[in-house]
Amino acid sequence: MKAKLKAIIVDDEPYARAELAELLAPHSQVELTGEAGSLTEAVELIEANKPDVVFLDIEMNGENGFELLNLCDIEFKTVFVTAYNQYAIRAFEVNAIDYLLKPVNAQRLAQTLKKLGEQVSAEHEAANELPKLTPDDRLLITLSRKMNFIKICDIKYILAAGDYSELVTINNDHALVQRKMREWEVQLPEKNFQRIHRTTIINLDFVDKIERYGKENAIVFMKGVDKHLDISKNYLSELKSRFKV
Amino acid sequence: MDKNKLHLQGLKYQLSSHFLFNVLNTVRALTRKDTEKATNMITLASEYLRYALHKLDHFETTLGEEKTGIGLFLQLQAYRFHDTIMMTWNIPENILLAKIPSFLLQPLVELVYKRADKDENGRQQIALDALLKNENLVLSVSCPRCLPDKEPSGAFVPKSDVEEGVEQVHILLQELYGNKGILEIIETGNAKKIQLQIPYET
Repeated sequence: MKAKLKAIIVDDEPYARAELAELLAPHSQVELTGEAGSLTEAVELIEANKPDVVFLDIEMNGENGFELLNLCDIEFKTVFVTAYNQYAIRAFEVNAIDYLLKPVNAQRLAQTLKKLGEQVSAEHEAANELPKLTPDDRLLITLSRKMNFIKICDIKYILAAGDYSELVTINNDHALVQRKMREWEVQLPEKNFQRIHRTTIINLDFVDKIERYGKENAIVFMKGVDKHLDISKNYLSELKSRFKV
Repeated sequence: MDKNKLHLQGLKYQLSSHFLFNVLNTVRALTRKDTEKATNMITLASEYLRYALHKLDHFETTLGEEKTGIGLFLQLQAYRFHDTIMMTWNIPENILLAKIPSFLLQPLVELVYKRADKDENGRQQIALDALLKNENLVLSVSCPRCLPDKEPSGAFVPKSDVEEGVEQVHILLQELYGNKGILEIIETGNAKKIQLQIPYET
């Protein structure tokens, strides 16, 4: 049996949350694991529950649902659920799965869930089929309009760029590659590479130093790179549990 | 922009999805959970719709009529969010019949309501003050305790409907009254006041 889709609802109106929960109830493939009434609650809930999908309202008590996408460090699918129709284009710019108008039509929601299920399982399958790479493997990459072979161990770090990613090499060359962060995470050798943020994977061999700031955050400096990279709260604790003596 | 177009935009704002469809969504949830509340809400929503539609062919309204419409709007919001809104009206009897453009006040009330923080008893306090000053009508919507304005945290955060509504009021004032129409947002500590001044007409 397929794993259930973990879902949470983010809406500032209690009745609107209840209504959507009611509409989701007959869909046994979805497991509602929590509800949040504000963005702060939502960030906590998402980090604790790691949902597959977030049903997200847009205008909430002076806050804007789009902000959640900037605040969260965990990847999830977004379905906007709103009474506003003017944000649809913006929603697709941030790769939302769907855009549902309130009051939500039950058949329309069923279509959304079908699409969601298909996309999630396709991504899981695609990720599982990807071959594991070793530090000596080579990838054919276009750097400054020239194709070249790059050794995995010569990748310094990788940044997210929507459905693409930006690869930075040992020589500080940059290349845009059609591959998502999640795919890199599956493929890259775990011993050498570590995700440190929703938007960043680093090669541990190129770490120059890590500096703490505040209680929960840190930044990392990579060898030969002036700009530092952020380590998020979640990944900092993962790093600590992985490497602490 | 001509007056008709501004009028239509005002109407669009008032009837736009941001409010009525949210109300319908709440009513749908309430029909399952609390039929008495659902009944009350349908009555309120109908009255609000009638009030808003009346403006279709009326460029002007009276301060008294706006007071009724805003009251309905706040009651509907209170239902939606389980809020307790303490609305104080300081409008002298003699200016309830003052004529004002149809879509002037509600966006301001909405902005203040959105920012209003709850006091220790869980109530949001909002006041509407009206007074005459040198042949001008001065209207202000205020809240003694507001949530701080947040800076958007990054890209892709669009402007809210309420902010656009207030911008619309600004344009309307300029179009109708030129430099005799004034809109100000005054912030003192946590308090917020939006004040507008227009020539007094009856």
